[in-house]
Formats: sequence, C-alpha cells, structure tokens
Amino acid sequence: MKMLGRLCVILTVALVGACAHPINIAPKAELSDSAGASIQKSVAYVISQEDRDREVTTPGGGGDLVSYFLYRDLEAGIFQALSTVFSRVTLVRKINDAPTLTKNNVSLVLVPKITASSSSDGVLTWPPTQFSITIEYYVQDITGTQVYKNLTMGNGRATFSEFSGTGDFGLSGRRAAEDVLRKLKAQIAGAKELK
Amino acid sequence: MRALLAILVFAVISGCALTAPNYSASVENAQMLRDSGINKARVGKFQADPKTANNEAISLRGSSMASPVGGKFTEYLEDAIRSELNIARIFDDKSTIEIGGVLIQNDVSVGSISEGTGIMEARITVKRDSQIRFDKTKSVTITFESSFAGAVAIPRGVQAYPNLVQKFLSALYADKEFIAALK
Repeated sequence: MKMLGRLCVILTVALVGACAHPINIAPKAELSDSAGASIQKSVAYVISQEDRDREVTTPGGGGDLVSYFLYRDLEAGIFQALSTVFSRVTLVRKINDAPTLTKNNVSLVLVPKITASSSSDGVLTWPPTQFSITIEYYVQDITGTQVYKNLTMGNGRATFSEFSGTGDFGLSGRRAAEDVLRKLKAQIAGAKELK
Repeated sequence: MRALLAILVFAVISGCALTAPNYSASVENAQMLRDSGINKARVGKFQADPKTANNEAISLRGSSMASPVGGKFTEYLEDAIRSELNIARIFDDKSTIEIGGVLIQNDVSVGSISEGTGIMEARITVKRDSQIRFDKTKSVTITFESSFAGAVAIPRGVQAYPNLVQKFLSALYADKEFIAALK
C-alpha cells in the first residue's frame, strides 16, 4: 500500500508537472529579392552551436509557457536577409574559424545576440498572442576591428481565431521573426560603414 | 486507491493529437548544396512505404504526432529539401532535374524512460529528363534525452523530429554520388 502511494505521487507529478509547449517561429516569408546583392562583399555571421541548441522558454497564456529554439529558427532567415544585401554569406559556428573565413574570402563578420519575449491576453489558452524579438549585433572586419553596431526589434501579433484556424501556435513569433528580419535587412543595406 | 491509480496512469499515457514542428532549414545543409556547384533542381512527389513509413502519424506513448505539411511526412520531407535548395538559390520548379524518393522508415520513440530514439530511411532518386541518375537508400538514427514523465518525454519526441530530418538531409548531401547526379 505504501509503494502504491509513492507510485501515485510520482504519477501525479508526471501528470501535473509544468511543461512548456513547444512551438516553431521560423519565418516563412521569402526575404530574397530578384534585384540581387547591393554590396559586393563576402560576409560571415556567427551562431554558435551552443546558441543554436539552446531552448528558450517564455510566457504563453493561462500561466503556461512556450519553448522554442530562437537561434535555430532565425538562422536561415538571417542568412536570407544578409544574402539580399551581400554577394556571399557564410554561417560559422565560431568567430575565430579562420579556415572557413579565408576559404570564403570573408571581409566582414556579423555577430548577433538574439532575445525574445512573449505574452498572451488569453486566460484559458496557451499560445502567445504577442511576441517581440530583438537582434543586437556588431560587425567587425577581418582584423577584428568593430566597424558597425546596432540593434533592431520586431513585433508580431496573432489572435486565437488564427491559431484555431491554422494550428500554427507559433504564429505571433513567426510574424515577429519576419518583422525583425525585414528591419535587419533594411538597416544593414543602409549602413554606409559596411559598403 | 486502485481506481485513483488507474485514472492517473490513464491520464499520463492517454493519447492526444500533436503536430510536428515546422522544419527550420539548416544553413549548413544549404551551404553544402551551394558550395557543391550543383545545377538547379526541383523536388518531385515522394511516396511512402505503407507498411513501415508512419506517413500520417507517429505514435509517442499513445499520442499521435502528425505532419504540419499536408498531413503527410513525405510532404514534410519534400518541403525540407525544397527550403534548403531555396536558401542555396538552386531551387527551380521547372528544372529537368528532379529529386524524389520513397520514405521507408520514419519513426520517433520515447518508450524508454531515459533515452528517445528516431530513425529515418528513404530511397532517394535523382532523375534528369526522366532518366535515373541516382538511386540509393539512405538511413540515419538519432538519440535524445527522454524521461519517465510523459509530459516531458512526449514534447521532446516532438521537438526531435526536425533534427531527424536535418540529419537525414545532411547525410544525403554529403553523398558524393548524390551531388554528382545533380551536376
């Protein structure tokens, strides 16, 4: 009977233990344009394997949490955003990956720091209705000298009717990702320090 | 007491419908394609082995995980290849080179109390002007941390699926014969 009681406790914890709902916020919108790159330079950007594999947890609705892989979900979008501005883009896992930087004739290296927050106005539903993503970044030349620094923020909103219609519970995050990447692309394209 | 236990056990293991996360295209995979110097290609319709492929649902401790792309995992795989070709700027829906295949095994398991596993096996073909240039079966497996608690193990199984697909595609793109068939 005592053992049965313990088993009940374990099962109860397993049942009610708080757990974040996994979502995906990778953008779907095509960032490439047919006009081609405006800056004829080969650039790299750095996302460490540790950042790529890090699961981020932020609030959803009804006291629940959502979890996602922030860097992993934005990795391809950053590649596409930079590819619309620069003639060649390469992802590296370490800023000091000299063989890859040399092989690709890289002249600038962008180092992003990405953060996100989310919330929901739903009391009984967990998907976030508001999402915000910030990309803070600096760009250094091949000697390690910082040539540019900036940050940009994107916001996304979604309603419960959109979640129930599409089953896309990461929709507000996806919209925030698309917004921040569009702004990043415009910001970088307009930075005279990078030309 | 036994009734309570039965209710709790049922609650822990009882099934519900889940959807696999959308595939986040791997830039490293796309760079492999871009740097290989291959021609532009399109992605054909994948088939599934009805006996082994779990094309419409993967069971995770009684819960059912479906594909977010057309409700079929063959379409998930097609979409993943298409997205990486697209990022590498070598996707062309009108190309005469077509990547296709048959999904043979497609499974994620969180049955163990400490470790989850996944397997994907597919016969991949490359056709140029309807002539087969590549025909090979590729297979990968993954392992990931799991848990006794279904509330932890099932979401981990769900999150592992895109990693399984990414590993499969990475293995495919690393195959020199596959790359040669696309040149």
